[in-house]
Amino acid sequence: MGGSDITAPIPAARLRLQRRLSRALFLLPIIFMLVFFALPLALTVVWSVFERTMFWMKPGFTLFAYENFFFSARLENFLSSMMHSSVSVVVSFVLGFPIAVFVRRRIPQVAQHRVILLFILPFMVSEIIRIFALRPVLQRTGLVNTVLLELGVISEPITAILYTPMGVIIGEVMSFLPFIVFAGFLAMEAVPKYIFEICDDLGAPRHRVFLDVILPLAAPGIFAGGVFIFVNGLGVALLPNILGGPGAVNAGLIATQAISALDFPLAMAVSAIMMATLLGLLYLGHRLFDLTRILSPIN
Amino acid sequence: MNQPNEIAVQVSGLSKNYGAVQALRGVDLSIGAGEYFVLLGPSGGGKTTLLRLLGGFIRPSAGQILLHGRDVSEQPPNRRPTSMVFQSFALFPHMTVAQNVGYGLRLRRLPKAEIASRVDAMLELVGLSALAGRMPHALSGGQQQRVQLGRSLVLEADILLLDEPLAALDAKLRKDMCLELKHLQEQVGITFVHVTHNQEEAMTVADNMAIIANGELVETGTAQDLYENPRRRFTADFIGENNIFDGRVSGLTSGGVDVDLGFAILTVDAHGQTPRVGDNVSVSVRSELVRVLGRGEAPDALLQSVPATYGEAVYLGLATSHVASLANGDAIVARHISRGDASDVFEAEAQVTYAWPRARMRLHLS
Repeated sequence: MGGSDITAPIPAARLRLQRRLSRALFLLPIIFMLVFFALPLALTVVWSVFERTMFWMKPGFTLFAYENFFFSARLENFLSSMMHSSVSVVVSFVLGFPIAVFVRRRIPQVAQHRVILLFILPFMVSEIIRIFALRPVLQRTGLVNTVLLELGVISEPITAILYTPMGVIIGEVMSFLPFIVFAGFLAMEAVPKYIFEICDDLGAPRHRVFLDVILPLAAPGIFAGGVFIFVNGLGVALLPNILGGPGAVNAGLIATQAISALDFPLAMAVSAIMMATLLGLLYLGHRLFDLTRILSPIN
Repeated sequence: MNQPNEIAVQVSGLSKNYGAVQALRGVDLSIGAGEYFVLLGPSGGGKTTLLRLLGGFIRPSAGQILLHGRDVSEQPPNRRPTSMVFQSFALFPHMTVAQNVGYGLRLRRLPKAEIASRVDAMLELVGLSALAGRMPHALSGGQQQRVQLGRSLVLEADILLLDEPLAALDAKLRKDMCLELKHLQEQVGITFVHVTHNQEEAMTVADNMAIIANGELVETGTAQDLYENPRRRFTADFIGENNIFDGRVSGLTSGGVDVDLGFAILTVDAHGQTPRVGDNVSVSVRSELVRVLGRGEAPDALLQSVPATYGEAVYLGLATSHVASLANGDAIVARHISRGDASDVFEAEAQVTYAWPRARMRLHLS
């Protein structure tokens, strides 16, 4: 090949091969998604209707696992963890979205990504350690209580902020806040800079700019960030495990506990229900905001 | 509705610095109410900076801005009697045409019925009634700019600022929109201040215009003034197609000013200017006034002529440019209306004579 003339025609056979190879390259991600996403998902549903045996399960069809879920305290726990996740989403949005708007509007373009990068730093620390570190802060004799007691703001320690749903919500906001910042930052891409000049020219007050312009334009991105937090709030077992108490069990923990009890069909059923919830949410979001817009910022 | 002598915009000593860069230096300018005024100049010359200062999007480093006699130098955009039409298709992408036009009125908390009727009237005016329910992405570039016009005009501000409103449109559409803008301005009767780098656009719409370059106001006047009698060398270079000769004043006579180019001496009317002997000056003449004399044709006393070496002809449709070089190496251009016959053909390297009416030469001291 070394000395071949650049104008020499490439043999037709080689061209065909190249074309076939490049087409195969596009198939790779599809195969990956089939093997590692669609297949496990299907198996989850299939296994959830298998019959439970002593240590594993055997093929069959029974809705016992679902019955076990819907007619026990598990459903109640699942619903309340949905509530707590929703609260986390709202709190994260209120705290995180203004950060995203601030970075977009006030930080010079060249520095924006560096500032956003700062929010990735906490993720360099293992999740367990990050969440565990909240205990000495929130517990009865922890940082928050000690400071408030010393300052005389409270007369006895607050016990409602650890081993309670409140503790889980604090942990969720701590862990997932960066996601709403990222999502918000990306969502703001759909809000062109000139918009703010028009608003200045028309004399729109800040809250109107936010409600009438930023929010509708950034809605798909905000929704995506919100769904991410909501689903993690439902699914990450670690948070209620470390920060929660008897009233703060989420779907992830229910599934984990079922696996510990060697009740695999139940674990699969919980997972399937979680998955259905997520798909339902995504469908709703797509109908409302057309989520494909996230990937194509308006020019 | 406006007094003929009323001044809409009065700017004095206006400067804007960005760090060490002086975007605008000591500009004095006044624009009459109801005028269509154009700020014309090369890109990066400071004209948009001036417009944005008028609109209140940036604050001046020095100087004062009076709009209808009121000092607004430190006021935000919405406290000024101005409204802005932006360069790119700056619309709210999530609102329909009617919502875009009506948003400013909604912010003013006008009753719904009044908003609807004013939006309808405005859409009628800018010719978009049929598209009231369309989203911006479903509109053409020209339609989007009309929506912007509607959004600004509906607020009934006294001064409309237009920042290169037609720059993103293709040539044909730009021409049509130019005339439409002009007629629209005549219809609504408010002051338009329009920024452009396009000469033809400027001349089409402007009652008066200002040339702005390198952060300075070079010259103001009507399109005809600036085209036919530019005072500054820069204007002559920028507007139309001029032959410019740089030389030195060698004598002052009753017939005018003698300017020595080295290979020829031109005698030019001073037009009220007072040059001194020894000053470096320029003389310009429009290329369409210059003719290449045919063989055996002698210049008469009213013509100024110079010898040149013929270069080439550039056919431009309506006109043909005959390019030649002068004794000092500079190019000289004569534009003839294309005749398409042998009388307009010259041989390369031939010694020819270029001539133009003496009275049409202009002297530039700076």
